[in-house]
Amino acid sequence: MSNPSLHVESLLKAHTDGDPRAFPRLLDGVKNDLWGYLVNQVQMRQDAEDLYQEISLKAYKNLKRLRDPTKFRSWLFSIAVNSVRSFFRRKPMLSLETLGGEEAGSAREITQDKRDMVRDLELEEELYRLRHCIQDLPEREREILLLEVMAELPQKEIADRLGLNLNTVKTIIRRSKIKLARMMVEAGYEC
Amino acid sequence: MNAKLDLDHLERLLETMTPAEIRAQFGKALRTDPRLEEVLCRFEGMDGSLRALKSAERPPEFRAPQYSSVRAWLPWTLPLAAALLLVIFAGSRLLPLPEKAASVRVAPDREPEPQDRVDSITLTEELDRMELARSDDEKRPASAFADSEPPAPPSDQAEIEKKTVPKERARPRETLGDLAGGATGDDIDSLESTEPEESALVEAALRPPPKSKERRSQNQPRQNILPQDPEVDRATAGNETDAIKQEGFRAASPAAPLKDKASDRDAAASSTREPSPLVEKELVVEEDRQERADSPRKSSPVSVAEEAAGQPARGVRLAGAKAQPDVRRVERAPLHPKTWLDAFREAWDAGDTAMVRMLFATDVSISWPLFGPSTLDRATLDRRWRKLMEAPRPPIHFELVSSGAAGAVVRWQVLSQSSVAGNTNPGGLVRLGFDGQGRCNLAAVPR
Repeated sequence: MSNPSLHVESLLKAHTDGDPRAFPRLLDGVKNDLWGYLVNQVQMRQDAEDLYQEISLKAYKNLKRLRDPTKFRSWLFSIAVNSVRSFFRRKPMLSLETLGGEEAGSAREITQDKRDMVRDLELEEELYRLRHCIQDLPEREREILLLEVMAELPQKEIADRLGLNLNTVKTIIRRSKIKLARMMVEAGYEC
Repeated sequence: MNAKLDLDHLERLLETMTPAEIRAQFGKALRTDPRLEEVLCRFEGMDGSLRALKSAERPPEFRAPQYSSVRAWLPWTLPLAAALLLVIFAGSRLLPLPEKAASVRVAPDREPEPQDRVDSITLTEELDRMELARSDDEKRPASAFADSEPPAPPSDQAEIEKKTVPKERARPRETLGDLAGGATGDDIDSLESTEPEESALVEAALRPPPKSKERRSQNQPRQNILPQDPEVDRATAGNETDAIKQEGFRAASPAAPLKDKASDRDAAASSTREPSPLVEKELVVEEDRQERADSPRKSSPVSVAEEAAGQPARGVRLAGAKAQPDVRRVERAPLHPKTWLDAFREAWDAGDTAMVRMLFATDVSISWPLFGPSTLDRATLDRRWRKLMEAPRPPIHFELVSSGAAGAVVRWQVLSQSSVAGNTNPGGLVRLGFDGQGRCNLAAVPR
């Protein structure tokens, strides 16, 4: 099995040498996680797409500055964290209203089988509720939780990136999950 | 242990205990409220739910920028443009100076021809010498000019100009003093001390500037040297007694607003004089500065309050139209209870969740029958509001009963026989409290 960091290193070198295919391939390994991070941070899909392009472009232009290929993921998510923070400074979170298809991440394949369709709809409803609960979390808790869940960054690295104590990060993540559990239950009882 | 358990207590327990430990210790208490066990189940499955959330998303395609040969010089575009702007800006300030400096003259009454300018400078020099000579021997013929030293050769012209520059720089004080009807410079006295025996030519050249409209209309060349004066005065800590000059020179520094106002001011300029662009600009800048000093008083109390509170520009949407989810309108938060009520009613009518979130503080406590019997926090209010918006909503009437520093008492009435939150034809009094940003942080039935 090839060493992922060697793979990243070779792609970095190819990108530096001007290979236009190198960066998209680099992005393949993290794009799902990055997208998941963004759609759960912002409310509108269009905003998530804009941020995705913005972050990808920043990474594309500044990739030559990355010295350690093993840090590509955390470096990319550092850009994402800063971009999202700038986004919220420009556009404070307002409404949780959604329209069908316009909400970030609402598109989902529904299988033809009816049982699967029902199950998919239930799961979609569950995920829809979970996403709203995540967006109800305070900004800092949401950011740290999504860095662990979506970016899959180690808690130590999250702490280092954000300048926090490791125990603080652990506590924040656990507390966020507890809050989400309670919010999901309370939202369910009101239905 | 079978102590009483509620959701808040369960949250605290989960921070330090696993769900299994909680079940072991609080088994019986968990059965008193089915939500407690469900919270434990949700917490246990949260990691899986979050992973499912992650895998459900499909990212868009990355669009790499399309570069061309233009890219090679693009990084230079911005610095070049900035340098060009600087040059243009500096040039617009500097370019007139040589002309105005060239038009420096002693005689105030007319714009001199180039040869006249040389002659006038020469005359001044000659007069000075004549003054000195007269004071020595007091024998100066009337046609002293004819017998005086020959005019300075052109090669000395620069020196002559240098010598006369201090006098010329002093002249604007006289000019501004005349505009103000006030003080005059020392050089006026020196010029006016010409003896009657001087030739008519010298007298005409040295005639003191008339203090009239005629003088003002002819001041353009003199005023052309005004731009030098701010630097000179600032450098030499010059005359501060002249009010207009003081204001004009101080206002001369911010150059950017000048260009926008100058054209407007030109149209309104007095016809009795032809003020130089720079004097006009100085006055305009002074007015602009005054306007800026006044502007905080004219701004809305909301913006002042928000800025004073150090908060970013956030607020509520006061538009009456139905909420558009993809529009993020940020307007000023209302301060007065009346405007808050208007905004709340609009949010109710429009089903605007965004408005509701902005009307209520994050630490709000709501015990308002409109939303049900229980006390709500902001998060619960938001969920309850969304549920209410799914059903047809009757209009609500608000009447401000009283308002003060402690908040406001409002009489509310649903204008319909339909039920809201389980109440038929609900209404009553509610006491609203507001934080410094005009958000409601308390809603309770007054005792």
